[in-house]
Amino acid sequence: MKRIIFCLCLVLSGSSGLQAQERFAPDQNPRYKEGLNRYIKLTDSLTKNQGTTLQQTYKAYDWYEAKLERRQQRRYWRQHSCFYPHNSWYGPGFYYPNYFYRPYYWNTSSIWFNYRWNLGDRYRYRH
Amino acid sequence: MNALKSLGLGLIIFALFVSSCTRKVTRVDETTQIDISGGWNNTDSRLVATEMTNTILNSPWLSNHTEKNSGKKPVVIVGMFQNKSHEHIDAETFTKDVERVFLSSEKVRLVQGGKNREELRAERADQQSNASVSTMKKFGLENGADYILQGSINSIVDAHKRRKVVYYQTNMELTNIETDEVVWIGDKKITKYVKN
Repeated sequence: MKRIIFCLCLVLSGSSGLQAQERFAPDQNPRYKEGLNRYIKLTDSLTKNQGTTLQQTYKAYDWYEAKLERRQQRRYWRQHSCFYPHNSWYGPGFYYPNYFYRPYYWNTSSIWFNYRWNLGDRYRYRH
Repeated sequence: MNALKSLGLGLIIFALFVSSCTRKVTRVDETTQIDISGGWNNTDSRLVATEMTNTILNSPWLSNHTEKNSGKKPVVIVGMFQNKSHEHIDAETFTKDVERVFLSSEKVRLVQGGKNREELRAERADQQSNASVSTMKKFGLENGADYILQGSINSIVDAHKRRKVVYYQTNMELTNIETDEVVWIGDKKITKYVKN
């Protein structure tokens, strides 16, 4: 009998200890564990960039910069026009008929050039 | 005589050629304002740092915190900064100034975050198996930050022909981590007129 009472006391004290652990702070949301369980898995990925600068830059249109880029592009085409004559088998328009299939060495950051590329061969070679 | 003249002329031309090709580098004071391209430079970074450091410690959030927490200093962690401008800008050039002011004032405590913290935890983990028991550092004793410092850099560009106006706005926010309450906001606006 004494043993049973002792066991009961142990169980009761254990459950009261658990209840004490589950005690909420004043005004704490009782469903806080839902948020905790959601974010505990993401902590590594969400905190890895702390103290750093996330670069989300955009390209601003600058009339003068665009003009310089156009000039540079014209010079490039003038220098390389002998290698890729119009209607040549090796020139643009035959092997690389559109923007997505141009070779890597024609890649440029110039939005003006990319715009002209989409206009087609006639415009590209005459201007 | 003619040979001497031509030799002298040649030497002068050579000297001019050499002097025109040599690059000249001089050290300047960090507070000297030098604008070359019109882009973001050290002067802008310094202006932002000065503005932020002047305002962050003189704002009421600090006294409010110490009053509420019986004189305990606030613990701050530096969070992520977003550069949403049109140029590559590293915010660390001015956030480090703010951190230095925190530490030199001895009013705010700082804790590491991000990759530095990862490295610290890795070192602590390494000590668990390699360091002597008396010198081994324990897990679970880090200082939890009370506030997080976050920010962003934005820009507006207005350009036509050879003229350009660039506007930069740098924002910094200090937020209570437990309550999400923003306790301080600092900003610095810089406008530049560039004529090419």
